[in-house]
Amino acid sequence: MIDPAENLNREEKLKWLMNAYGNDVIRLAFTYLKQKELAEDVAQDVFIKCYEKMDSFRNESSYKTWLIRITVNRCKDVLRSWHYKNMYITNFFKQQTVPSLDYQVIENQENELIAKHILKLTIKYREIIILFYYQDLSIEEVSDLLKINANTVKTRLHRGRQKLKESLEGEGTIHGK
Amino acid sequence: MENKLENLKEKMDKTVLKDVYFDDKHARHVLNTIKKSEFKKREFPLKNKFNALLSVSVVSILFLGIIYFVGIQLNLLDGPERRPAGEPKETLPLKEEAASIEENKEAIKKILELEFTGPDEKLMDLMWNPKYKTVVNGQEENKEFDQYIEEKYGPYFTESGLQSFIAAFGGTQYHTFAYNSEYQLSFKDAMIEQNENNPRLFTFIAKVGYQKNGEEEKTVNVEGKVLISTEEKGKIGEFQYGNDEGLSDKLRE
Repeated sequence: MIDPAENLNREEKLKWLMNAYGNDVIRLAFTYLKQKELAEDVAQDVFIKCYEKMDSFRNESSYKTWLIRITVNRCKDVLRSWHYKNMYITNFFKQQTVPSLDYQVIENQENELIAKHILKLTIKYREIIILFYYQDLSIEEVSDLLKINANTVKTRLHRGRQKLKESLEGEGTIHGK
Repeated sequence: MENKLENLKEKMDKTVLKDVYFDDKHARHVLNTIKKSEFKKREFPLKNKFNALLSVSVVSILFLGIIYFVGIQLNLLDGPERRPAGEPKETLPLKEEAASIEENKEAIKKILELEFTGPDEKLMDLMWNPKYKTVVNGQEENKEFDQYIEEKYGPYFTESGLQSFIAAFGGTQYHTFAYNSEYQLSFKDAMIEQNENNPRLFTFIAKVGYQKNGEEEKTVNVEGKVLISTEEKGKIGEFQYGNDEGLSDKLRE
């Protein structure tokens, strides 16, 4: 595998990685945590960790999958933390009470609709959909990354699509489409 | 359903993820954190050897003790030529002592002025611009930075005092915080007092102003303590910040 950052020192390599994959990392974190501030914190943690572990990176995977792995693990730690659960509840109420007009208008657009419904899926299905369709990883890569059986990945992918479809159809009836 | 999920990256990036991106501010925060932790690591190279060092020193002290005891018993160290060597104990004349206290206070004030006037653009450039860095035997070096610090802070510190101040006790950190968040810092005044029980110990409360984009300037009190070196007269051996009324957090908000 060709390493475009091969001849850089650790700090330069880190800068290169932040530049190349910063958005991927922070957006992936957002699909898990659904909060910008938390996603920012996680992304920063991920790159600090990546700097610390830079020497142990042996090109067995690409930088991208390596960073995705660190990000996914970090996000799951955050999701498990009491602090997150607490904050999520407060945010949930905030979202319920302040629906902006903008939001309503854009929501009608199909892409936004799909995106929002993906974020509404439970984490089990959401992460599979994101890793497979958004990050473009193969079934094997997802299975390796999440340490679950490839067949389980396929089943969850199938069920995830199903759930998404149901959820989108449900939306249709509410809005009378 | 399948085709709705095609180009999902584009669909999501343009909608729910459009406000989520990794910008310069985040990258700088990461580099900052790394920088700080590396400084700290470099600070304590003796840590691992501490146990060995401890046992060696205990053994040596015991050994010297035995020699001394034996010496006394044999009257070897109690020779008459030893006695007159006891010169009258050195005491500073009162006037000179007062002058040196003033000198110490002046030095502390000077450091506070350096620390809270800024951010110092030149310092920040030396610290963050990679062109000043070279790697020697796997260790990062920045000669220009070290030289600049030596020039500015050096006259008031002992060598080890300066090193630990910059590396571990927050020296220049307020410049970095202010620089990153585009605040301006200004030193107003400081109250510096000598400790009653320990003449080497001084405490300070510095009044510091901070402001951003023409907003109204706010001030906080930053506290800390300073220990004057015993080896090098008049130089600072230790400089530590205490309560800063949340200034470092405010600058990083």
